[in-house]
Amino acid sequence: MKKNKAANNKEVFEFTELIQKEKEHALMSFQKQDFRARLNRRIKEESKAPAPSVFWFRKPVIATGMALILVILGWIATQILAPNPYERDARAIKKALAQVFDVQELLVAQYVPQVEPQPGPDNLHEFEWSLKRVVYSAQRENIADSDVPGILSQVLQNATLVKESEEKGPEELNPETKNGLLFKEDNSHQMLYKIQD
Amino acid sequence: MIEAEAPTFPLVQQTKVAEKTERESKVLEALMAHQEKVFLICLGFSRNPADAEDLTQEVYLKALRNIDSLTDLSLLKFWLFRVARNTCLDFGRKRKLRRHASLKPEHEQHESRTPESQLVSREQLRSLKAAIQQLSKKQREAFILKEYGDLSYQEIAETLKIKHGTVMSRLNRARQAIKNRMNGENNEKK
Repeated sequence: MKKNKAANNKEVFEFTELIQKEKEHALMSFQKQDFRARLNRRIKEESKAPAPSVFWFRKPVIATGMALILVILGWIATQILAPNPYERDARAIKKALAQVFDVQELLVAQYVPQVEPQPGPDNLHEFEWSLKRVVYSAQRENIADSDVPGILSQVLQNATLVKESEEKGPEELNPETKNGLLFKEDNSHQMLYKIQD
Repeated sequence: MIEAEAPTFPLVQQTKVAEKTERESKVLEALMAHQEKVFLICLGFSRNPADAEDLTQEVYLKALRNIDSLTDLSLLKFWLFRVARNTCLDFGRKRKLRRHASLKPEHEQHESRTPESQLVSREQLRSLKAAIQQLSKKQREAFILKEYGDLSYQEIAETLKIKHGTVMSRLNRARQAIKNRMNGENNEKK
């Protein structure tokens, strides 16, 4: 046991001695050189390191390259992600139709039904038109002034009849007025043609 | 009585710069005190005095660049040894890659650059270095810090951030492995 341990120690001592010799020799050469001076020189060299001699490794070139790559990638992305023309057209049509339907709905919502003409005030209006028609016809046909009062009196008479019939109700209408001709349209101006004949 | 003028901006700046320079020079002095140990650790990892010197420079450059990351100056020694270990391991990895690229055996690459072989048996030293290289990474770093860097068990534990007992067991296994390999080689030659 003791022999074994001694042999073991001897072997360890051998390689430790070997290492020691190597260290001493290396240290001798290390101490000969002024390590600190060499270190300072290296620090100075590193602090004023020149720009990389290879053109492609210079900072502005790298930055420009990166920017170019980004632009190209962006363009490719837009090309890939952009819809094809058919899809674009379909979307435009859909949008236009949607607008049309919106407008239509708006118009429907805003539609106000036309008010049916009421009998009372419209008769006054009809009377006014009857007078106008008489005056225009008299101008167009060059009739004598003496005939105009007769025609106007006829118009007035018709209007009076209409008013009376309204007051009496629909049952007591004059047979001449039942056809509705006098209600809707005064034909007194046709008397001018009769007079001319 | 003349009142003292309030410190102007350049003065404050100068004081700060002076303080910083003072600290830097203090740190640099503390770092330089360990240059031989760092060199020997690098020698253990690189197996070549010329490479070891380059590596020592590299270690100091790294240390000076990253000195601001060190808050407690009392731990400077262990921090420096850690930087040395990491730098050497990086160097080893790169050298391995280069060796693969050149396809040349290691001893051929360094044979012409080993003047120590004039003093000690070249064969013995080569087999010792080969045996150290064949150790596991953990055993190798503990062994190199102990045998080349002459660090105590406690210093190794602090540097590698492991327990004292772990250092002892790793060293024991490393020594045993080296002894076995060297014995095996000797037996083969006989």
